[in-house]
Amino acid sequence: MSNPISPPPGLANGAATPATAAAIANEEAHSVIGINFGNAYASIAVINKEGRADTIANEDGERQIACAVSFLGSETYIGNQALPQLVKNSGNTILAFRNFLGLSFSEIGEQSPLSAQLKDVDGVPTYVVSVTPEPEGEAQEKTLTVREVTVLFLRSLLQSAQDFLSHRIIKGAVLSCPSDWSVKQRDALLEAAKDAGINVITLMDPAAAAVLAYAPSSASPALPTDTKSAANGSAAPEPHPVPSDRRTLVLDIGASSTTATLLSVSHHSLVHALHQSTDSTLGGKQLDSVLLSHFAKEFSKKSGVALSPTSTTPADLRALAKLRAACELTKRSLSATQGSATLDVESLKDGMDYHGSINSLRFDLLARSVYTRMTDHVRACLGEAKVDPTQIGEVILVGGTASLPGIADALQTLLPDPPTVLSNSIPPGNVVAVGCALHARLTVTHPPPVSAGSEEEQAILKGQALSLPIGLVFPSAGEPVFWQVINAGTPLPARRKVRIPVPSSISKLGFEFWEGKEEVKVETIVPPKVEQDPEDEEEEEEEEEEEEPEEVRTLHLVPSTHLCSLLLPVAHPVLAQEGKKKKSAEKTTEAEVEVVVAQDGKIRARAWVVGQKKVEVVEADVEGW
Amino acid sequence: MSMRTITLPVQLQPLPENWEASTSKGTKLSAPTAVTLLPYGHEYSHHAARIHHQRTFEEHDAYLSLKTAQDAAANGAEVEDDLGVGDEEEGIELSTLDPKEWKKQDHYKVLGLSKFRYKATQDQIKIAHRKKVLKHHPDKKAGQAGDSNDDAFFKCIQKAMEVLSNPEKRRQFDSVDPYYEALEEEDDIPDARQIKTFKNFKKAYGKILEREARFSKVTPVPMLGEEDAVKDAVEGFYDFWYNFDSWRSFEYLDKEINEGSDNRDDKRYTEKKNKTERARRKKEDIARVRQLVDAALAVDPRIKRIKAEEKATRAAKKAGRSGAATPVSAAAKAEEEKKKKEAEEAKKKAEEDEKEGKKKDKAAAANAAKKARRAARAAAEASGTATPASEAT
Repeated sequence: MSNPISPPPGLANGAATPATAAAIANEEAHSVIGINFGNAYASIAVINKEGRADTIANEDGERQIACAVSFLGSETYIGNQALPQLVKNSGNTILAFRNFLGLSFSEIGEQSPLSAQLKDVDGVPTYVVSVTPEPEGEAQEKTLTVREVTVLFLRSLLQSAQDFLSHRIIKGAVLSCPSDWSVKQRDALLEAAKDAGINVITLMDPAAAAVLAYAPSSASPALPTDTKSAANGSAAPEPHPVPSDRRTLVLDIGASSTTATLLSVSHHSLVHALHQSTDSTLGGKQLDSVLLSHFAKEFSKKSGVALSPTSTTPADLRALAKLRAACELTKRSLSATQGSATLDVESLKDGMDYHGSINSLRFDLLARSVYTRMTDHVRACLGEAKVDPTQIGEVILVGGTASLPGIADALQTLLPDPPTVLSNSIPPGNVVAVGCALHARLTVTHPPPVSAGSEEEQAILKGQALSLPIGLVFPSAGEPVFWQVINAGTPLPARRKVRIPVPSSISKLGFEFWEGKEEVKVETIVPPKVEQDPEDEEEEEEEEEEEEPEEVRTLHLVPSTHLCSLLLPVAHPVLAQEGKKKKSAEKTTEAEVEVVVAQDGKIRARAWVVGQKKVEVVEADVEGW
Repeated sequence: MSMRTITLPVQLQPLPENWEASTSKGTKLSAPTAVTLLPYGHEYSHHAARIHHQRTFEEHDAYLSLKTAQDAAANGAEVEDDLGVGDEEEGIELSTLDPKEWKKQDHYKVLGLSKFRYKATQDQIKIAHRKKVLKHHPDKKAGQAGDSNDDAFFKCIQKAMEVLSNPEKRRQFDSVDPYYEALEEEDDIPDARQIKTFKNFKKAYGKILEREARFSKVTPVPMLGEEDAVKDAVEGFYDFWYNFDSWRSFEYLDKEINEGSDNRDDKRYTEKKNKTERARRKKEDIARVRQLVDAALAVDPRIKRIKAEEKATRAAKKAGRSGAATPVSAAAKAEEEKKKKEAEEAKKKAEEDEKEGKKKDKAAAANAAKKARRAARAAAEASGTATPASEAT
């Protein structure tokens, strides 16, 4: 994958020489962006000088740009500047509008009561806000459809990106779009982006974007992707922490919904979804509410002024809006640090200021119920997909809320590491934008062989994948051990190679190719009595759970059907003189086995000894379906 | 597409005896599952390209390697010949260099020329400098994270170029090149006791002399030569080295003269001191080379050989002049003795042979007698046994 895909040779040798073509492609790569357009927050990523994708900060210095538009007098606030307007000007502040794109009024579910409400204008959901066009003029009503708001917002995103890239013309953008959106919704988004002046390359599934963001970047020599290996070309790239073929769970915790997507990944970047489940009542907002009620209670206790989180009096609502904004900040600082975070609100209610702090332990305790719902959601998703937690190779955390350390900890109990690797080295809030930008770059530097949306593409996308893994068994007296070569779920055609070190005592190698099965063994181990923390004693329910024997699940691969076998004679290099013995001992002989499964299920297995002048290949075939 | 090949951590056991590579007929893979791929990512584009162009894996590989070769050729055309300057690795010590301490820095190392040193041509120096500047120019670093104002190394590069591009300054620096200074200290005059054969000798002194040779004003510099070199060559070699004319000078180590100072005396004092110091060092250096050549001469096996040969010829001449009456030379004596000894030995051997021969004769005679007796007995017996047999028949 170190080489670019490009049009067939005939086209590549066109008028432009490859070198200048590469330079143009390089230039183009820096003029495309990735936009993660969420319901609550958006982020933008560009390709930086080193050829890596990076999220950028907008003119306010925010990387997570709030999807909010607010009107006050003659001013229009877009982004994070609009958020403070929620306190005094909530009726003119529009939030969370993305999810209503492309829907008619009757299809719109519940709206948040904290911001501007949608009104039914001939079935089209419309916001009605009051603006004062001239400084001393009369207030007027202004109607804005969801699409108009989206255009307004996307235009400001484009402006931010252009400002960042020194007014370079942005040639294209990849936008994230929930995978469960209907064609109508997608079209609405595409049209809104077009109106905003964005040339949309494609809409992208956020889960796939997350996988691509972590894929070891590939790309062409024109774009050094790894600064380290680019600096000293000979250095081998670091091994990737996760195997190139695996099942990946992408857990996207947004502000208002949580989506767990189970994907099958081959070669790091050939992806198909196995299962997806969304809980639209679970998200970062729940954690805000937890914090809100905590601090409201604390405030009432401290100041003697009653403040109930459920109160609806206008004064209380205003106080709660102030407190909610502060809580969100507190939550962000809890995500960033391990220690405690403070919360300051001036004149919260009845002129009383509030200053409080919360440490991460206390917060995790408060948020436990929300965390449990999240892990339950993941468990349910895995259950529906009939996949055991041990079969998951990687978990990718996505969404600003997911950067809370408590969530990673909660997931660790369900999906221990190993075998599951938790990927959160890219800030979860940026992952999708980064993936979108990388895909945008790929599309301009190496245009895909088939155009997006064409019938041929549809045909290619409808693929077939192995239902069971294929692996090697080395004949021996003992229990057969299955060495997986091609994973279950690998799209066809597929090819994999493995190397086998051959000790010098062996002159004949036998391989048996088998189809395997994944079996999960569950052992119950009664944990030794551990002294319990005083905190645990307080919670009696916890105690009961603690005493239950622990289940230990391990994944075993066992061979089930024999496919074919190969016999490979191995000639070891003759050890030369005594003096050279040491050198030749270091170099061990290796055999290489290649398995190719064609689209029709035909298998061709080949094996040879690596590094010999005369390569002798043995091969075997298995009939297709 | 480069396949990532995984090495299995398998401990292979010898093949069981009765195992054979059998292909079970009729077994097939389990039915596949239908999936919908997501059209994103590199591997997807490879996958799509293979299906679109109906290429097999091998064909696709071939296409990709062709493509890479084309790209490389296109890019390679722009790469200029760098006269073998290459890219030298920059050690950590380079990044901590202080441009104020430029006299202490190794200019060749700074420019990445440490494999050439005094042998580097002006063109090579120019190329190396250009390469370094492109890499370390402060304008390049402005956008990068970290110490964006840190142009210390760039200043070091400029200083190195200033020294190495000026022949006079370069000669001064070459005179005290820290790399060779360290070598000089490291391998002192080799231990005479260690040197027994010419091979040892050449190994010990060859490198040292080669290093010293770079200071010679006269070129080419005669080197050690071969073991069987004639007298003239060896003598010429030592002549040259005893009159070694070196361009080495030590201005580089001068103490800085305070130019700003109005005090003339101060300046003159420093100048004078520098001058004496230079002279002292030069004297020391000449003495050092002389000492080195002395030591080499002392242990050179060829000198011993030549001396011995001369002695022998002289003796032979003498012997030829004064005839047999004069006392025989040691060699002749030895020769004579040897001859005598040989003659004696031959005599002895002959005697012994004779003895042996006699013994052999005796033994042969005895043997013959024995054989004759045995034959007679056998004949008698045969006739004896034959008779009863004939009687029986």
